[in-house]
Amino acid sequence: MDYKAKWMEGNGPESAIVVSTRVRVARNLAGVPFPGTMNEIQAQGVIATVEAQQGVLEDMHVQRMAELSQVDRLALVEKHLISLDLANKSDGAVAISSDQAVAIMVNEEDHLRIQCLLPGLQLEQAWETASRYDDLLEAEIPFAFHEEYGYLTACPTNAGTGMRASVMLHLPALVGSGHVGKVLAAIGQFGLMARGIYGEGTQAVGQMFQISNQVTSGLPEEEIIRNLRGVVEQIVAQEKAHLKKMTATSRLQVEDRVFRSIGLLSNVRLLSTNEAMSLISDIRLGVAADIIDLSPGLLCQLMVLAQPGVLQKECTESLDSQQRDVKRAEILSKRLKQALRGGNI
Amino acid sequence: MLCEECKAQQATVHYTQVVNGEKTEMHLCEDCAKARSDIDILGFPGTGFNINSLLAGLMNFEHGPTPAKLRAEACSTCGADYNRFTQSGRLGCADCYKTFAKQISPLLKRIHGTTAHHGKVPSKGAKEISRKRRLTNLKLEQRAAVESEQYEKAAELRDQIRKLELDGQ
Ligand SMILES: [Zn+2]
Ligand SMILES: [Zn+2]
Repeated sequence: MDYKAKWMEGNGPESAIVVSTRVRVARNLAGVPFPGTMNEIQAQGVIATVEAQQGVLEDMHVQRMAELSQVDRLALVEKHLISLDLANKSDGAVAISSDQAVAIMVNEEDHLRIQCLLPGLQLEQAWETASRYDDLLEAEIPFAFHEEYGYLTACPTNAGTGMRASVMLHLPALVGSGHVGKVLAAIGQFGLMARGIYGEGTQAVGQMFQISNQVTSGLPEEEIIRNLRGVVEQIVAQEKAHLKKMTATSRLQVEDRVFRSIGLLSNVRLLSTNEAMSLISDIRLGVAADIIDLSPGLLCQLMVLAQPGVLQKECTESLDSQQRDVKRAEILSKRLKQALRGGNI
Repeated sequence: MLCEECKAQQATVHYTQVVNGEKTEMHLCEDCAKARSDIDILGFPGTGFNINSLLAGLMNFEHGPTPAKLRAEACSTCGADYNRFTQSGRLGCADCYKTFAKQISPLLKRIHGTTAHHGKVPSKGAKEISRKRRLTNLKLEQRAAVESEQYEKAAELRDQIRKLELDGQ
C-alpha cells in the first residue's frame, strides 16, 4: 500500500491512546542563507547537496516538490510526512525512507528538517533515529552552529537543539468529562505545550491533541524527551482512569456510541472528512475501553484514508467533492467491514 | 509568548477556535486556561497556527516600537534588516545571530530561559571526515591545475591545502 507511512501501522506502546510520536531536528547548511532569504540558485544548490548524499542516506528517495502533482503533495501532508508549507514551495524537496518512518524536508523554514515518525509512544526511538540521520549528514555537510547558542535556525524559537518532539494523543474520555482543559493547561510548567488538532468548520471532531516541547535550548535532547515522556505517560494514565470511570458509570451509553458509529461507518453512502473523523474517534474510544477488538493501525489508516488527497490517490479519475464523499464512504465502509469479518488486520 | 488574558505569565496553552466560520487563536497561561471551561478546542492540520509567527508581536510588545536606526540595520552577509525580523520572526542567515546579537541574546533567554545550548554538538568525527574529504578534493583540483598549467590557481590551492592540513593537527 503506497499510502501507508510507518506510524500508520499503529503497533507501538500505548497505541490505543497514543496515535503517533514525532521527533524533528532543524539544521541549516553553514554559509548558505536560510530558505526565507536565499535565491533560486542557492535553493537548488541545497537540494543538490542533499541529493549528492544518496550514498549515506541509505534507502532514502529524494523527491522535488516541483516534480510531484498537487494530489501527491497533499497526500504526503495527510500522511504527516511533510508540512503544508513545504507542499506549497516549488523549490522544496523531501527525502523519504523506504519504510516511510523518516522524512527529511528540504528548504522548508530551515534547510533541513530531519523527522522520524513512529506509531504509539516511542520518543527515545524516534530521537535516536533522527539523530542518526543527523550524524550521517553532518559528516558530509557542515551545519550552522554557534558555540553558545547551539544549532542556528531561521526562527530563534528552534535554536539550540533544533529539536521538537511531539506526541499525538486521542483523549475522548478527558474531553467527555470536561477535564481536558485542566490537564493540558498544567503541562506548561514542564516547558511543554499542547494543541488541539484535526477539525474543520464549526464542530470539534477527532478529539486529537498534540503535546510537544516548547523550549528547545538549555537542556540536552534526552532530558527534553524524558520530560515529555513523563508528562505524556501521566496524561495517558488520566485518560485510562477517566475511561474506566466512564464505562463503570455508563457502560450502555458508551457501548451504544461505539457500536452506533461502527454501524454508521460500515453502511454510509455519503461521508465527509469531518464525519469520518468523528466516527473513527468513537470507534477508537471503543478500542481503548476494551469494548471492541480492532487494531489501532486500522484506525490510523482509516483516519488518513478519510483525507481528500490520499483518497484521491486511491482513485484513477479526479473527483469532485460529492464524488469524494461517495468514494470515501465506499472505501472506509469496505475496509471496516473486512476488519470486522476477519478479526484484526 | 505572554498570555493574552493576563499579559503577565508565559502562554503555554494554544487554542484554535472556530465560531461561525471565523477562526481565532488564543494563547493562554495555565491559570487563565483553567479558568475558562468554555474553551472549545479545535485546530487545523498543517495550517495557520505557528508559534514562530507570533514572535514578532512579542518583541514589539515587550520593548515598544523598535527605533528606526535599528530597524534599518542590515546583516552584511544576507542583506536582511532587523525590520524584516521583527515582522516575520525569521532571521536571514546564521550570521544574523552575530549581527543582531544584542537583540537576539535577550530574546533567546526569554524563549528558552537561557542562551546556553547543552545538547548535541557537531561531532569531532564528523568534522574530521568532512575535512579529509575536502582535502582529497582540493588535491585532485590542484593536480588538474598543474596539469593544465594554471600555476597561479595551483598555488592558491596549495595554500588552502596547507591550511586544512594544519587544522587537522
Ligand atoms: Zn494568563
Ligand atoms: Zn544574515
